[in-house]
Amino acid sequence: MAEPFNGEITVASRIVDYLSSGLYNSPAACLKELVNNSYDADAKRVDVFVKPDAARIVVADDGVGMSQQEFVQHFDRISESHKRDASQTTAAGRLKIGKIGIGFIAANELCDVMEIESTKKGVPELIRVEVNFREMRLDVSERRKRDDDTWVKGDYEGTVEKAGRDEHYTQVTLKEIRPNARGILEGATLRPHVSGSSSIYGLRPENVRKLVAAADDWGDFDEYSQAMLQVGLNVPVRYLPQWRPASLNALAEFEEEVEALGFSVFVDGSDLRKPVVLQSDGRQLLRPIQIDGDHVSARGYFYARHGVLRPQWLNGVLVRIRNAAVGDYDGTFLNFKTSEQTLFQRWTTCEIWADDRLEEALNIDRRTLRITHPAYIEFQEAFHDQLSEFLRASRDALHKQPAAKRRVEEARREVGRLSEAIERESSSLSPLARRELRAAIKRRSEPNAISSPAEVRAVLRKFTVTEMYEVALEVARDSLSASQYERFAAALAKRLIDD
Amino acid sequence: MYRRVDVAMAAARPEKATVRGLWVEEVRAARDATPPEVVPLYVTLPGAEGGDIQALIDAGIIGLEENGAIAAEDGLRIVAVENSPGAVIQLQSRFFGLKILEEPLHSLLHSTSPVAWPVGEHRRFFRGQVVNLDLDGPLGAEVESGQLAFPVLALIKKLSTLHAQPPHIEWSLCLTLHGDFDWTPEAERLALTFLKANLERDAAFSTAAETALGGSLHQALLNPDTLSAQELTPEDKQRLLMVLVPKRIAFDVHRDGWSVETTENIRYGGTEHRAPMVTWIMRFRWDVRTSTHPEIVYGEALAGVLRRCGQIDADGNLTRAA
Repeated sequence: MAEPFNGEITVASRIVDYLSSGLYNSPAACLKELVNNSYDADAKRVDVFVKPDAARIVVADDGVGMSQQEFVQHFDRISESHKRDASQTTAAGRLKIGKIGIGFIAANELCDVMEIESTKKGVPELIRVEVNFREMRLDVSERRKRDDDTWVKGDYEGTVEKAGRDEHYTQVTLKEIRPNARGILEGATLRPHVSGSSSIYGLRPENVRKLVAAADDWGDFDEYSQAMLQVGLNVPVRYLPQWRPASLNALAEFEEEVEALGFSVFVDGSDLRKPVVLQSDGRQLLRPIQIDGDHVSARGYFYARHGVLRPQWLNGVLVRIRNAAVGDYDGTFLNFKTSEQTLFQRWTTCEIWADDRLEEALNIDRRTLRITHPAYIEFQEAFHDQLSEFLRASRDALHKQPAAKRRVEEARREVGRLSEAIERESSSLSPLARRELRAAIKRRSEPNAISSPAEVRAVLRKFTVTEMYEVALEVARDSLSASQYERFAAALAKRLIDD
Repeated sequence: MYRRVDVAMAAARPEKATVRGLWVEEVRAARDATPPEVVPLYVTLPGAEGGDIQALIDAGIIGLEENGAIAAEDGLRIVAVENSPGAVIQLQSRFFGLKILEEPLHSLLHSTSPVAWPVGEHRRFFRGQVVNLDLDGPLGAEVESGQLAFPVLALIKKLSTLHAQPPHIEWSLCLTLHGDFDWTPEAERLALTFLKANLERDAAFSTAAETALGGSLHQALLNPDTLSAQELTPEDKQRLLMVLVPKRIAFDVHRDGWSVETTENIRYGGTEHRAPMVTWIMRFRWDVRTSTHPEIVYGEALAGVLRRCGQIDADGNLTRAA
């Protein structure tokens, strides 16, 4: 008889490096993980300190903090998050963003050493923990032996001190920042094809808004600002002041919902907001998005303006689940047909807040969705239907109707020019002929006389030289004597050919 | 090492405000003397309150952005050294964009080791034009193999060596110590012997010291066997340090290329439950004569050690010694 056996699969801490390098493609992606952790800790305010040179990065929040026991529970096993064990919401009622317990490993992409200091209300202890990612990245044969021949006992080392019972905060300090990340986050180096000179450092939101409104794309900003704005796009912070035209009151509900979360992030003292500014010269279109499917529901808005959207990063769709964005704006609109209303796709932006069922389709990188998941399939299809309709509406409202209006105005201007020409020539005509001429154009020159498409077409008709020649000869034949007609035909031919 | 500085700095005492005013003027002079690309302008141990940084901001020497953060162009011109995590976060929250080195000073400088030196950006940061060591601690003394050593002054010598590396950077030292000391009998004996030897060697210095110290203390220093430094009055201890410290610094660096000018030599506190303090501002100027005639350079430095003595009273008024 066969002997049964079983076991538990364990992984080495080096997996942290493998995972993080595959998951986080930018310093901004790493930082937003840490900020979202603060959100899940019911923080009202998070301070991120990066400047002047990103030699160390601090993410400090006033959230509930962690006890030693909670720290161990969260950090001992990767992808075994206990965040949602008891509830889907925080004590303050926020839907928790973190789910699979890998947020902290994002720090591995930014630094070699992470220090965590935390204390929890009601628990008289302050924990200080150092996580040494550099050690974790080493091969097993190389790691854990210190210069002084002692051995590192664990993947993290910590102490517990006494603390006041009323204190509660968490401070994450990233030390020994990895060179590439530091180069980006200090924002001091200008790379002509990657970064510009605009910086949000030291600015208040109203002036950040001005920079965002004037920007073409991310590349207008230095890399520090790019990273921070991208964090702002992702995390549940408020919108910039005057981010929408005042007339778009329908967007107020989204604005108010995010404000109600009461979550602020300050980067080097600057109040970070979502870098979304919807600009318009008055030609704009706003439509709600509403999806109520069997597998997913969502709501949001479509916005288009006349002309290519600026800043360009807004062109696309931004999906938010539990108030955190899934990656950046997706310029493909979830793989919408590029051939359909191509021009108007470039005029369009949209934000969608999807319900938790779409979270099931969220890949662990939190920036892509699993395209085979039923919730995603339904979401994509419903979204594309509404997008298609919106693009048609954009074409009508922002392109066709204005174009028709412009043609009416052009036709009226043409009639005006004709009246002027007749007046100029009328001095050489008999009074009777003058009256007849004026009567002929009077009907068309009155205000609003030209409005139907047929009338516009008639006035703006274009003639070829041949058509013009034929019309003139036809009129001349009907109204001139034979000899006059011959002279007229010859002179007209000469004029048309010579000119 | 000397981390009670927070408490002292937090107190907005008039004496401290006067001292800060002197620092501000020193930094202003350094800024005006050199192009802005020379960084950093100011290296400091500010404590959690950062009173000196605030004074520089108030004086317009350090600019601010519209949200109150340190101006981007000044971001690396000012470097704070602070080891206490709590103080670091306070500083960072108070002065957004402030460069903070989060380690003890002696660790950053690799202690007094003659073979280990700061490298990379740490080396650059410690070559600041004005270095403010507001230590809020006593002048410790050690005896090693019969030689007297002052660890703090050894760190200053190390700083001077860093500044001397090419291209050398002329700099100023602002140094503040407790006007008290607690030396072992052996350290005290060696310190007093050192002072006696110098008083006897240089008549001009001895005369100046007699004025600064007062006749009785001067006489006592010339007969150190009969003197117990620990039993001196707080005021005399301050005076003794006013003579000893700048003299010793000038001596320590005069063969390294530096001519030292003591521009401020001031005592304050020591009354009404206020700790006795001594503070100095010393300018390190590059002097090529140190390679050929170091004794002349040292002699000039010595002559100036007691030229700018003074006292700050409890109201913050600075009185120069006659």
